[in-house]
Amino acid sequence: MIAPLRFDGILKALVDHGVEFILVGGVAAVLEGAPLSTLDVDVVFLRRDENLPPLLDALRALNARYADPAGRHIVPDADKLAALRIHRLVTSLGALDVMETIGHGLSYADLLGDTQVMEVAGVKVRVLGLETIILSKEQANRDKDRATLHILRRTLQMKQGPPGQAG
Amino acid sequence: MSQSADSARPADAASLGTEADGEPYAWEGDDDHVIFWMLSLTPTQRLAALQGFVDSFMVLQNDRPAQV
Repeated sequence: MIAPLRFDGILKALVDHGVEFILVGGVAAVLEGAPLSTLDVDVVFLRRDENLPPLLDALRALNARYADPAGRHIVPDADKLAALRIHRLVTSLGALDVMETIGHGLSYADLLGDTQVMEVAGVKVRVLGLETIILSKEQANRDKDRATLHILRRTLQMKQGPPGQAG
Repeated sequence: MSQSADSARPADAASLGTEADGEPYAWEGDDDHVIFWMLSLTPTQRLAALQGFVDSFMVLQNDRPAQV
């Protein structure tokens, strides 16, 4: 049995706990209008001391544990949040990747300039723009990233099209 | 979602030249149609579309008999 996945519930938990984060990856691409599918939520968090307690509280509310191939039950704590740069987590509402950077070291501060706050399912979420989503996937350059680039680039092209088309 | 576009391809689509030419996506008319539709939605509606796709996937996965 595969655990349920609720994108809105994961985002709401992060927002309700006051976590400073940018939604990136597949869900961000969908919110930008790209017709893609994904089975997790990816976020880049602001790596500052004051952002770690709300992040930890949100992860506890989501019953988060690390996605461990050996099946061990390892939960996030303050030390792990401070020490690790990528947290691949399984929560009661689905898979959640919490990252310090994406692509070639693009941090929260690097990404912030190409974000917009969207109201999504009743919560205001800061979402990475399509141009930087494409850049991060070009830099990551994994098979799964390359597989989505055509749709992402075409979506960006259509969003930037002449007035009266789409956007 | 983009995966549904392939199901609408006509039987003679291969003759138009797609995978055989090494192009992963050459059926751009369908891609554009789905992108236009996504861009016509609000962010909340876009998330709902993704959620609907994932829910369908989960139902199919969880209903599948266990492999022996």
